[in-house]
Amino acid sequence: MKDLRGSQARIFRLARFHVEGFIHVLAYRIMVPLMVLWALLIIAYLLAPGLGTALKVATAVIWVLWTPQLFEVAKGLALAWSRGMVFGKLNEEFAHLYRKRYGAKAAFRALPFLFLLVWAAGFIVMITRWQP
Amino acid sequence: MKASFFMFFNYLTMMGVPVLLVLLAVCALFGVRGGVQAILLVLIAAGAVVYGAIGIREVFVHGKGKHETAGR
Repeated sequence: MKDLRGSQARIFRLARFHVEGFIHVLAYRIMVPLMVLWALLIIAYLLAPGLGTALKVATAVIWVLWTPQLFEVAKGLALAWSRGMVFGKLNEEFAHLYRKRYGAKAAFRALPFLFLLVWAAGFIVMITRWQP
Repeated sequence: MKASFFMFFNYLTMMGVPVLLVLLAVCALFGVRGGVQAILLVLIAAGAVVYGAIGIREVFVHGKGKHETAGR
């Protein structure tokens, strides 16, 4: 797939103008093949005991790699649920009319960070309390 | 229709696997193990296979050298 910026396969082109997007795409690209291996490891763990530590390490790696993905999903949901009012690029006049009709919806701006908080808490619990 | 078929499972697993992982952590917090943990792990593995496979298709296979979205 190509556009004026060149091939979309070269994700490093993103780094210059959209760092957040670049981190997301890079983590996703690393994570995607690992996901399948991780799934196989889970199945192996369920069938044969003794792989607990390996499963925990792999789960921690996937958990970290999933973080940018989770953030972007939460951002997307906030964008959709606020009708483009947060994290969107509505023009001033349109945004004004939307605010008048639907309210400010500013609270949605906190959603990705709320997701991250739960996600980080889950990670800490997984590391400290989960004994597979 | 093909795109929406893939997208449904992509979105389902994109949101479902993190929810299941957090549930796994909650279970660990309250000491729930055994069958519940096994069921969660099976669901997570299923989600991971689907998400991983769709992701591999999306990132490494789909649209490879086929289209140009803007002219030269």
